[in-house]
Amino acid sequence: MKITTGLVARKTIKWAVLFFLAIITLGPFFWMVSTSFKPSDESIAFPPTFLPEDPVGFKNYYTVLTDVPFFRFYYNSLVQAITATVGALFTSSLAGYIFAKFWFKGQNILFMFILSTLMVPLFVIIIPIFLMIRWMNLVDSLWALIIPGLASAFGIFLMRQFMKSIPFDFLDAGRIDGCGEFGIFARIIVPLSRPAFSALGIFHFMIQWDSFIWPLVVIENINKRTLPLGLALFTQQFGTQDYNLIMAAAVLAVLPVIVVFLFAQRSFIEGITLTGIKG
Amino acid sequence: MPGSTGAALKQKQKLFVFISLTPIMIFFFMFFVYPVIYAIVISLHKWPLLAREKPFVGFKNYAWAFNDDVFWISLKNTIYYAVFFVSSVTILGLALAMFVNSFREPIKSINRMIFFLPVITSMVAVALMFVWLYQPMFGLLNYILGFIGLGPFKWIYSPQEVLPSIILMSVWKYVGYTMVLFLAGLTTIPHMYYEAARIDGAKSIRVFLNITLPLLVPTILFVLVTNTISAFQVFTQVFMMTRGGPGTASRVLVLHMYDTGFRYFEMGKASALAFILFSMILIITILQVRYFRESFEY
Repeated sequence: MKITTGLVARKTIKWAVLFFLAIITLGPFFWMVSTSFKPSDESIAFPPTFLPEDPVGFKNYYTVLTDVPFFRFYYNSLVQAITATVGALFTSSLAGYIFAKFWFKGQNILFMFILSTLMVPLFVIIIPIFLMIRWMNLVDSLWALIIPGLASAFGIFLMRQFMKSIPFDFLDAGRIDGCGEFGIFARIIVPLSRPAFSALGIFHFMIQWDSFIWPLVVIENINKRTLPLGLALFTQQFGTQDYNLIMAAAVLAVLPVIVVFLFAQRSFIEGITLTGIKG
Repeated sequence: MPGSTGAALKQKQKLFVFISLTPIMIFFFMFFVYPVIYAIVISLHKWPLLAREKPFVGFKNYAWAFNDDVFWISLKNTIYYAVFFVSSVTILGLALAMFVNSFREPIKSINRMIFFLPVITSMVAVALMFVWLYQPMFGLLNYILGFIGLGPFKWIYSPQEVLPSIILMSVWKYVGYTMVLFLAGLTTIPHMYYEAARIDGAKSIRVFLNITLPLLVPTILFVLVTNTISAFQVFTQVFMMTRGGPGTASRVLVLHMYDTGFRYFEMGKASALAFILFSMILIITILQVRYFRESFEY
């Protein structure tokens, strides 16, 4: 009798804590969405209204989308992130395959060299790369955003680890069937490495999609801004009091990622875990 | 022996390796080796972006950095941020992982998803959300805290509260990430250890201290090292919320470097700052790894 009441009490507390934590985590999202549907005066009313009492529908969203080239930001972000991710997947899988399945002189040195570049933080090389991009006349172009993301040392490492477990028999079978070296890579290795591709793909895409300091340095033109940059500099366009507009812009920026995440959350988290535990 | 092809690669395979690897190696030289060397060279010159004259000045840029008060303030703020951010995100992440782990499957996955939501949300958007939540007059947080008799706080508008406020937001955003790493670490602990402990009648605190914690050491090391490295590079939050203000109360090193390089266009000074920060990060990382190796020898 005593034991069961204790158990029930413990369970209730556990659920209460869980509920509390969920509110802390989701509250800011709720508040962002709620504010984005309020008219200006209600958004700064005190005491604040939890749900918009006088909702303006999608008017704030309309203002944001028409006053700022927001679709342009989406487009730029997508082009940047997709191109860089496809490029990085290709280069990482090719190099990873070579480091996993071939032996040649100096291989270890080359591989260690690639790994050692992981230690170099962006802020150390950002000025020389900026000068390089400026010298190539690529400032204010999407190429400036894409090119540095076309290869990934971590991606090569991940691919190599994964491809090491593919038996050599598969490669030999391909060779006997008269497959060229690239054909073996494209037709045998790549299909067998699906999990590594999706993990690295998500990881690299998120890094590119969220990159901020590099676009901030290299992009001036409003029409070349990516989503994070456009959103960051958006606040300059409106007074700081227009939180309803700022929140509408924030919703527009985070919504696509959240929708994709909700549908593919398992591969997201598994990918992050797989790529996270690299130490 | 690696490879059924033996030590000697056939001509065709050699060609394949050469053609595939060369462009990739050139890329890494172009975007890592060359920039690092170039950055060292720049840091030894007075290098205003727009002027033609770029005279060699030796270590003057480094001397400037160390003689500048703003540098020391930025360093202090960066360390403050790193210490409190890393410790909170590690401890809370572990606690959250164990809490989530104590639920059964559908609820466990839903929780994991909820706490991971801030991780995948863009930092710029999160910063804007929190600027609004922290708003001293109309903000939601002061309103809610008012009910339990706290505040009103000035949050990011007060020199004393600004760093804790930025840390609080960063912890909110990233605790789900460390939680997921700890959850993965927890699944590697064999279940029979816990059963053995239960049969021996061990209390849950002892189980935690003697089984869970020691077996999580690799995960803890990973979480500490990676989070410390990224904490020393904190930029976006500060840039978005305060630009280092009020005054210099939230100025951090990468922001200091960014302003020096890309607002005042002093590339030489900015590069010197970059190398100072880089060497600090290297030293701290080595110390952390060493400490863990020596104390836990796993």
